[in-house]
This record gives sequence, C-alpha cells and structure tokens, in this order.
Amino acid sequence: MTEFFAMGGYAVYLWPSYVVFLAVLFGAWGTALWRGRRIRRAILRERRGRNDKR
Amino acid sequence: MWLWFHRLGSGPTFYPFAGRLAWLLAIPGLLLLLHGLYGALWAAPVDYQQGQGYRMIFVHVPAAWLSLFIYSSMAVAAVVALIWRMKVAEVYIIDAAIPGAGFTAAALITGMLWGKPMWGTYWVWDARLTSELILLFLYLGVLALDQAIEDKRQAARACALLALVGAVNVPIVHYSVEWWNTLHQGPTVSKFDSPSMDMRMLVPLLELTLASTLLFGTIVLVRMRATLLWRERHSRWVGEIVEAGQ
Amino acid sequence: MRGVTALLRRELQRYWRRRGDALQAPLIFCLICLLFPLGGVPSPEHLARYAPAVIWAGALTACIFGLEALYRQEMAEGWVDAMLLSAWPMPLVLFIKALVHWLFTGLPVVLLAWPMSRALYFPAEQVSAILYGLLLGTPVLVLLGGIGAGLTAGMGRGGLLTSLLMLPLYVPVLIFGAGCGVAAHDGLPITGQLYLLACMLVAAMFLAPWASAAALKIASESS
Repeated sequence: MTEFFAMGGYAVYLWPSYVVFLAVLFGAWGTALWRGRRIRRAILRERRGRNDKR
Repeated sequence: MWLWFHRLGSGPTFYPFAGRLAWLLAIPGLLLLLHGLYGALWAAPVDYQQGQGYRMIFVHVPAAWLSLFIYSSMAVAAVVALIWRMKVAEVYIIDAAIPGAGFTAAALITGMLWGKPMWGTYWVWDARLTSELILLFLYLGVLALDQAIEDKRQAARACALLALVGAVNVPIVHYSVEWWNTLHQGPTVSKFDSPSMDMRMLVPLLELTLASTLLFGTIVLVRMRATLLWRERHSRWVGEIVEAGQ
Repeated sequence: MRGVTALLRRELQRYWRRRGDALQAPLIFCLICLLFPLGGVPSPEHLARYAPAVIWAGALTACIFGLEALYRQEMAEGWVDAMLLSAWPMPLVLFIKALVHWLFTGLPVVLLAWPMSRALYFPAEQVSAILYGLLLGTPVLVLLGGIGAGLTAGMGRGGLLTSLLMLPLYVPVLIFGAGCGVAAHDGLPITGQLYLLACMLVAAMFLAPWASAAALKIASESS
C-alpha cells in the first residue's frame, strides 16, 4: 500500500496533479449546483417581495 | 428538425430538457471516471522510460483536450449566437468559458508538475505549455469582457465575436509558437514519442478523456439552466418552475 | 471613389488637428526602449541581443495605448451610429480609419525604431531587418486592435480591457516580427519571417475590418 502511494518516488508530483484535476472537475460542478440554488432562491425572494407589496 | 432546433433554443423547452440531459451525461461520466482512475493508477503498467511519473498524463491529457474542445465549441456557439441570435447559444459561451478556464489552468499545472521530474524544472518555454498559457489568457479575456458589459445580451454577443476571433487565432498562435520553439531549443521530448501505446495505458486515457468531457457537459448544462432562470426571471415559466421547487 | 477620398481627407484632417495626441504613442515607445537599459545591464552585447524584444514590447504597448483614440470620440459623437445607418460599407470605412491611424501612430514608431535600435547597440547593418518587421507588423497590430477597440468602444474606460483582449492575439505578430531582428542579429536570412508577416497583413486587411464593423455594431446596440 505504501508502495502504491509512493508511486516510485513521483508521489510529490503525481498526487497533486490528480488533486488539481479532480478539484477543478468537482469544484466546477459543485459551484454550478450551488449557483443554481442561490439563483432560484433569489428569484423566489424577489417574487415574494413583489407579491407582498401588492 | 429545424423546428425542433428552434424550439430547443427557447428557455421553457430547454430548461427541463437540459435538466434531464445533465443527469444522462453525469451517470456514465462518473462511472467512466471511476473506472478510468482505477485503470490509470492501478491497472496500467509502469512505463519503462518514465517510471510511475508518466501516470500524470492520465489527467493532463483530458484537461488539455477539454481546454481546446471547450474553446472550439464556444466558437461554434458564437457562430450560432451571432447569426441566429439564439439565446441558448449566447448563454453557452460564458457558461462554458468558466469551466474552460479552469481546465486550461489544470492542464498548465499538471503539465508543470510533469515537467519538474521529467525536465528538471517546472516551467520550460515549450510550445505546448506556452500556447496553453496564451489560451488561458484568451479565456480570461472573454470572461473579463463579459464582466465589463452591463447589458448581458450585448455582453454575450461581444463575447461571441471575441471567441470567434480568438478561435481563428488559436491555430496561428500554436504554429507560430511551435516555429519559435523549434528555432530556439530544438524539439523537446514529445509526450507520445512511443509509436504504439500499451492498450492498458490507452484505454484509461480515453476513458478519462471521455468521462471529463461528459462531466463538462453536465457542468455547463447546470450552469446554463441557472443563467437562463436568472435572465428570464420576470417571465411566467420561470415563476412556475421556481414556485414548484424544481 | 470620391467618397473614399473625402473620407480619407476628413480622417487625415482630424488626426492632423490632434497631432499632439497622436504623438503620445510614439513617445511611449521611446520611453519603454529607454527604460530597459536602465532596468538591466547596459552592456552592448546584452542590449543588442534583446533589442528586437525590447523594440517589439515597446511597439505593442504603444499600439495598445494608441487604440484608445481609434473609435472613442466617434462613438461619443454619434458618428458610429450615423455611419452604421448610412449607405457606407462599414468595413471600408474602418479600413480607411485604420490606415490613417497607422500613419499617425504606427509609422512614427517604425521611424523611431531606427535610432532606438542603435541606442540599444543593435548592429547598424542589421537595423533594416527590425524596420522591415515593424513596417509589416505594426499595421497588423492596428487592424487587429480595431476589433478590440470596437468591442470596448461603448465603455467609459475600456483601455485596460482592450489590452487584455488584444495582447494574446498579438503573439504571432510578435514572434515573427521580433524573429526578423533576432535572425538578422545571428546573420540568418529573414525572408521567411517577412513572407509570413506579409501573409498576416493581407489576411488582417481583408478580415479584420469586417470583424471591427461587427464589433462596433454590437457596441452601439446598447440599450
């Protein structure tokens, strides 16, 4: 197992590159979902506010 | 066909369609990603020249592929947006540019992390790395232009034109950088200098490339759905969707 | 044809009246060329080696600064809207504008590059290589820059954004333009670079005015 994580001495370079790639991939996905929820909430708030005024 | 194309361009039809398509892409994307990662980190044999270090290409190549694929797809969307003024295509340009810039940065960083053990330095003025860096600036230019224009429809059309001009320039930039590079350094070690790749290496590479492309599709669809909601927030269909909590 | 000469005369007069403004870009070019020796080692071999790069960095910067003046005033005066509504073919109008703009901002840079290269100890016999490169390259910079200037024309302060948008697109011109100087310094032929620059110039002359026209149209559409 340790041997696997050591990656023949390349661990310092290899694991960060996987981390960077996956972080970009899932980070972009996560922020997209989060942004969608935020926008839906903002629209809802705007609509509620307008209805109250009426 | 043409009618379908046009109807898909409108918000109320696109929104539920994009929602379904996002999941349709995400599920095979995630499965392929997991299988590809297993293949890349475990099943693929050690390279006899580069040792375990070559395993970085399994993430570097998908990121680099996506950086080019996304920019070209933005140029196609730009043509559609400029000629037919299709709203969905306008939205696509910016919503693809954000993950596009991210993948370009990832390709640069993984390329540098590969360069340190292989070339002995993080940065070499290599043709590929240099044109990737210029591509990153092209993405950032599109994003900056979008930020600078208040009216979002006008911003989308301006970005479309810029993306198109950039897409014409990308091959010229690439060839000029390559020419400059061979003149000053001599060809650097190509990443694919072995003529035939072991299948156990090639399959995970293709799997990961396909998986990240599918997942990019999911990301961009999720973003486009939210953007469309916000742009048409005063229309009835958005109200119905938001109130229903979909 | 009469219309073209009339337009050409109008543009020339406009730039001549504001010739002081037009001279700012060439002055910036000289300043940048003079700052490099102060920021580094002023020995002839170092400076001569980097002279093409310095000259081109100065030319790019000067061109970018000059682009501010290309459409800003026309946009504010409503000239752009009037032109878009008129029967004038917009690409032709913008081509003439770019030509005059280059005469007043690009050509001085090319001429000043001669004393500047000598100030950077670039060998006298090879200076012509730098000048040929600039002569073919700077019009491409102006023509391409018209697209960026058009996109940002409607904004209050678009100058910084224009440079962010345009500098990455200038890379090929920089490589082949400065490449002329580098090759000449090493005693190599420069015809290849000059042919490629000429190709870029022809392509930019035919394509860039159309893109600039589209950009100005988008910029003037603002609600």
